[in-house]
Formats: sequence, C-alpha cells, structure tokens
Amino acid sequence: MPVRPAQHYSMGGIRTNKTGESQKLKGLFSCGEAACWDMHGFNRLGGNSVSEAVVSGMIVGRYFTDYCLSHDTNIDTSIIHDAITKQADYIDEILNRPEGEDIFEIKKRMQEIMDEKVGIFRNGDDLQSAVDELQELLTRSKKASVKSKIKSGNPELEEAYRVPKMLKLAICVAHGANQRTESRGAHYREDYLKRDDANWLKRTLTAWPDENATLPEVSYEEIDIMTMELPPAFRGYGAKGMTIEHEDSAKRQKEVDEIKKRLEKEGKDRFEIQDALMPYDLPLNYKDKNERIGVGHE
Amino acid sequence: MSNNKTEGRALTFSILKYNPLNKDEKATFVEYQVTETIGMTVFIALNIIRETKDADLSFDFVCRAGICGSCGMVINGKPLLACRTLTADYPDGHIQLMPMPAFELIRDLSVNTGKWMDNMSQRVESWIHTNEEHDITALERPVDPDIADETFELDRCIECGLCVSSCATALMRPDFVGPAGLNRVARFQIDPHDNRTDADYYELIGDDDGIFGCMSLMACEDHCPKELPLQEKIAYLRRKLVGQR
Repeated sequence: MPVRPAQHYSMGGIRTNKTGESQKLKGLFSCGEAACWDMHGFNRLGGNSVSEAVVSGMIVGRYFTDYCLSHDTNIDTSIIHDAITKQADYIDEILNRPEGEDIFEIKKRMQEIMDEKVGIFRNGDDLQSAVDELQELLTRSKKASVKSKIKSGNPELEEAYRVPKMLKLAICVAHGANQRTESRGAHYREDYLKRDDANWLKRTLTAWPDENATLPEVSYEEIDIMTMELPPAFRGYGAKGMTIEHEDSAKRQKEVDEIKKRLEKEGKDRFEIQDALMPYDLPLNYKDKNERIGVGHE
Repeated sequence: MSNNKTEGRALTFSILKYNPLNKDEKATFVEYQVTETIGMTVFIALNIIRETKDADLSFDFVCRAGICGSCGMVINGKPLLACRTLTADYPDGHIQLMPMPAFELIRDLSVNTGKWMDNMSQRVESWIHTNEEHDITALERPVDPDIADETFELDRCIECGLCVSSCATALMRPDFVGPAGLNRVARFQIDPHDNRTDADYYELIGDDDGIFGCMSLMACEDHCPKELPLQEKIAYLRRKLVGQR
C-alpha cells in the first residue's frame, strides 16, 4: 500500500463576515470549508472540517435563514439570462476550437507543480517558478480543444471548462505563499523558518477584477491583537523562540490579565469575564447557559 | 511492493460505450490496453484510459477511497466499486466493464444513482418523524449506546447502488424500494428519536414493492462494500411487518 502526503483540506475560502455573508457580494453566504470565517487559525488539525461544518452550519445557517426571511428578492431575470448566455457561449467557444492544447496534460502538470513546489516544504525559488509556470498553464488552458463535440456527459469538456478555474485557485495559493515570507501553521518556508507576527499577522485576500489576468490582485486584512482574548503566544508546538513577536501581543496579554484579575476579584463569573474581554453575539438562544449533568444550567 | 508479480502486465479493458441521447448510436464494447502499475485499481486504470486513450469515456468518481459511492459499475459481471477493485485480482488480465443496471443510464459507465436514491429517500420518508420540541440548552435525551451503535451501523450506507444493481427484485420491479431503502427504514425503526410505529412503516413498505418483494437471494449483502447486515435487517423488518397484515 503506497502511502504519501496529499492535500485534503482547504484553509481559506470565500471571505465572510461573522454572519457568514460575503464581504463583497450581498446575500452570498458561505460556511464550513468553503468559507474564510475565522473559526480556526492557520493550521489544519484533525477535526477542523467537522467542527467547522457543525458549528458554522448551526450559526451561519440561522443567520442565513434570518436573512432570507427579512429580505425580499426581486431579481431581474435578464441578469440570470445574461449570466447563462455568457457560460453557454463560453462552452460553445471551447467546443469550436478546432485543435489545441490537451487539457489532461495541463491538469497533470498543475498537479505536479503543486505537489513538488507548493507542497509541505516551500521556498521562494520554487514558489516563484510555480507561479510563473502556472500562469503559462492558465494561458495554455484557454486554448484547450476537446475531441468529442457533444455537450452532455463529455468529461473532456468538463475539464476544459473547470481546469482554468482550478489553475486560478492554484495561482492564488502559490502566489500568496510566495509573498508570505514567514512560516505559519501549515505554511512552512525553508527560507523563512520563523512565524513573523510583527509583519505577517494578516489574512491574504485575492481577487480577480480582470478575469483575463493571470495573476490575482492581492490585498491584506490586518488582524487586531488588541481585540483578542487570547493574544498570539507560544502554544507548545515545535521549538521555542521561533516567533517574531508583535509588540501588541505582550501589551494585550497584560491587559487581559489585568481585566481577568480585577473581575475575578469582583466575583464575576466566566461569562461576564468573557464579555469584558471579547463580547460576541449569537442568533436565537445559542448564548443561553447549557444544562450539564449533575450541575443544572451553567 | 516488489512482490507484486502482476506489475507491468498488459491489461485489456473491454468497456461498454453508449450515449442514450444519441438515437443513432448502438451500444458497443471498446477495447483498451493499459500497462498495470503497482496497486492499480480499476478506477486508476479508467483515469489513464480517459487521459491518454479516450477523452470521451464517461464514468463517475469523487473520493477514490470507497466513501463517496460514485464509482459503482459491473466488473466482469459483478457490481463493485471501481476504486476498491484491484486489477491484480484478475489473473488473465481481461476486465470487462458495464454500467450498473436498475439505474437511469447517463452515458457509458455513468448512471444516475442520485435520482434513484432521492426517490427512495422521499418514498421511505428518510427523516426523523417527531413532534417533540427540543430546547437547545437542555440536556439531550440519552440514547442507549448499543442502540446508537446499531443506528450508526446502518447509517454507514454510502448510497453506491451496488445492492440495488445486484438485486433480482429491483431488476424485475422498477418500483421496488430496494435493499438500500429497506436498510434506511430499518435505521429509522431502530432510532428512538423517530416516533413512527410499525403500522406507519407498514403503510410505507408493506407490499410487494416494499418489504414483501425481497426474495432472499442475498446478493445485496454479498456485494455491499460496507458489509452492512442487509439480510438480517430485511428479515427482521419482514417479521415485524408481517404481523401488521
């Protein structure tokens, strides 16, 4: 039985706010592995996808229901028609290419690049060459022709339609990893071994304002340590001293310790302390205290 | 795995090709030669064929690991999952592939198990029937661990359809609820959260298209890739529901 590492989880997805709604497209909700909802950090640990599906399913599901109940939709059918026509034309365009690239070869090469250069151990040279070659593949993939010209149950047509999208995602991953000159969670750089909270405590966001571009637009969303209840620190993984600290981490930790100490002295319970450190809200009665065996509601 | 003696063999795949949407086309077997690699499964061979020999070959897969239930097909006469079938198990190197019967043929080896399973789910009302309102902050009613185990055991069905395509009744009676459907009823019948009574289940499946259609040939259990106790559950349900007649 051959055993080897493989990608099996996406860290990252559609950027959402806390209700699971896209920050860019009103009414688009996303949850679980498809979303960037901030339930987990930058590492993929066992159970991430299940807990994300269960927790965000429950919370985002509710926010989504509320959204649907409180919004009337009035969609201009010509928008739907135009979107469908655009895709149908694109499929016809693929089918009409007389001869060209082999989409299976392009996909295979993409898989090799991602495996060899954007895998577990990464470095700047490999990542740069991955980005370069993936861009070439993206250009080539748009010249792919398919042998069978039928529209239904045509696996090669499906690939010709989907692989350019896969390549765009691969480019986002490789390009983002190349820019991120640190090691963090599952992103391990041989040329930048330390986690750099001072410069890299931020989310990588990618967008394709020009759909024909071969590189996405990259922006960064800062993460504010001063609003955290648990500021970044050594958590017992790996060797000590592998973090370039952010100055706010110690500052916030001191603040958290002080608030905790003061409130505990005042006899406040853990819910009141939580509220003082990092208040949050949830739909329905999800914040009510839960009944526990032998204790009652706590 | 240097002891894999069959590595490097020339395999011959004979695959049924047919597009039901093309009225002029006749179903034909097409042969493909593939060189065997270590640990090769029929699924891997099919991908090689599609990528290098016939881009037009239609078959379904998702997970490659016997979990998604998409790659069921008839391999040398037996319904099997392509991803869990090793080519090394075929000593003469001849492997014939056909689509599973009992399902709507999409094309070549692709069949619409999803549509069938959807119908089945609606038919057996595959959801918890209860009027109880549960307060989310209150403790859940405990379930006996053995009963929970028994329920989850039957929940392991991956809806691949191998049981249906190996079932003689399903082939003779298109409306037969099938082993997968009876398994589903058994699952809810065990689950204490579901308040349906035996009389309710009798209403759902108490006829020849339901529990009394099974001829006890046991092919469903023989072919279930999850080794679900289908015969035991079907026999149990039948004993329960015959009393409702």
